Amino acid sequence: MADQGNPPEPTDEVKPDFAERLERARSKHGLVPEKEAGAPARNSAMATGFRVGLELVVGVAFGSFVGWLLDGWLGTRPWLMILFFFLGAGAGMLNVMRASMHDRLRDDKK
Amino acid sequence: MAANGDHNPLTQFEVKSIVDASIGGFDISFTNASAFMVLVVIGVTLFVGGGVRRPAMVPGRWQSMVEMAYEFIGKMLYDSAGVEGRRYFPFVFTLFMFVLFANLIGMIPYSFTVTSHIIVTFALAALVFVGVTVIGIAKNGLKFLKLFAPSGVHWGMLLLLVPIEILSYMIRPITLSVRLFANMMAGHTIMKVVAGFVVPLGLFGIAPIAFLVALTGLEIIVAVLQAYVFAVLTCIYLNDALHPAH
Repeated sequence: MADQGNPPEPTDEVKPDFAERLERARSKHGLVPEKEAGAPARNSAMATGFRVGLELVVGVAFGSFVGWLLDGWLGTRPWLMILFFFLGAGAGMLNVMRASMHDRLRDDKK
Repeated sequence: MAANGDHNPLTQFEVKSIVDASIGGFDISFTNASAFMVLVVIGVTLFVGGGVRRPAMVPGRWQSMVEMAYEFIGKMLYDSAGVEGRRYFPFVFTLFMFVLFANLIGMIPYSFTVTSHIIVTFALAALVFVGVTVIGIAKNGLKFLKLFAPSGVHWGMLLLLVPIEILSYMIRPITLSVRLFANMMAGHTIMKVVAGFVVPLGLFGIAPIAFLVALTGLEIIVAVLQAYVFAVLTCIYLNDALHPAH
């Protein structure tokens, strides 16, 4: 526990063929490799749906709020709020896109 | 839930003062929320400390659990933030363990779920947000601002993209905190509402009890999953701060 310098899976770097053999031996004996057991159910559809919905709603709400604040400051009510409503919606969609692309990249790596 | 017939499903979220105190007009009373946060910290300390008290080459059950948690976070951090991210392991690990234990201790009946309060989750998310921004600026200086300006884009497009990027950066602490808070609060409210059906239904109360058993299992999954999501998003934000040009 004390040495933080070690990578999480030292076997991968030391001897690739050993890691491979170990993996094969483990799966043969029904021992699930760490990789699959370690990650919790990330594919939970409900969690993904909730995340996407939240991202979109918060984007629009926060964008409008920032626009409203700027309006009050600059005295340009309602124009900046309208502009930032759409910018916020864009930001929300951008976050959703990033999140799903990150998920896909990670799944492809496996 | 309070006794004497008060079965409102929302009473579980009430913050009650245990020891009243105030300094210079600020209310710093020790509440049941504070008590459970202390409990969470003690729980994490006992769990991790107990696991490594007698470290063995072949770990026992307890040591295995601690090492699994350690390796899980270590791998997650390495996967998303690379080698540079490992310096921030203590931070991410502490955050994960705190949220995990707060969620799980909240699953004990009659206990208080710290993370079902938006102010607690928002404080954690704001800490992540400010910390990550400071790390980004300290590591990259002005190059950190490249995070808001994607490379290889026409300047006309940048006019539109930079505000969107800045907004999308600023909504991070909000989504991070609301996600955890909403999941915990909704789950616990549903559990109490279903539990409220058990006694009035008499013999048929067996149905809500069976449902409650399934719901409890689901809530434990949600508790662990949300702690994981909180930690993994922290890692992703950390990666953005360490490598701003994307």
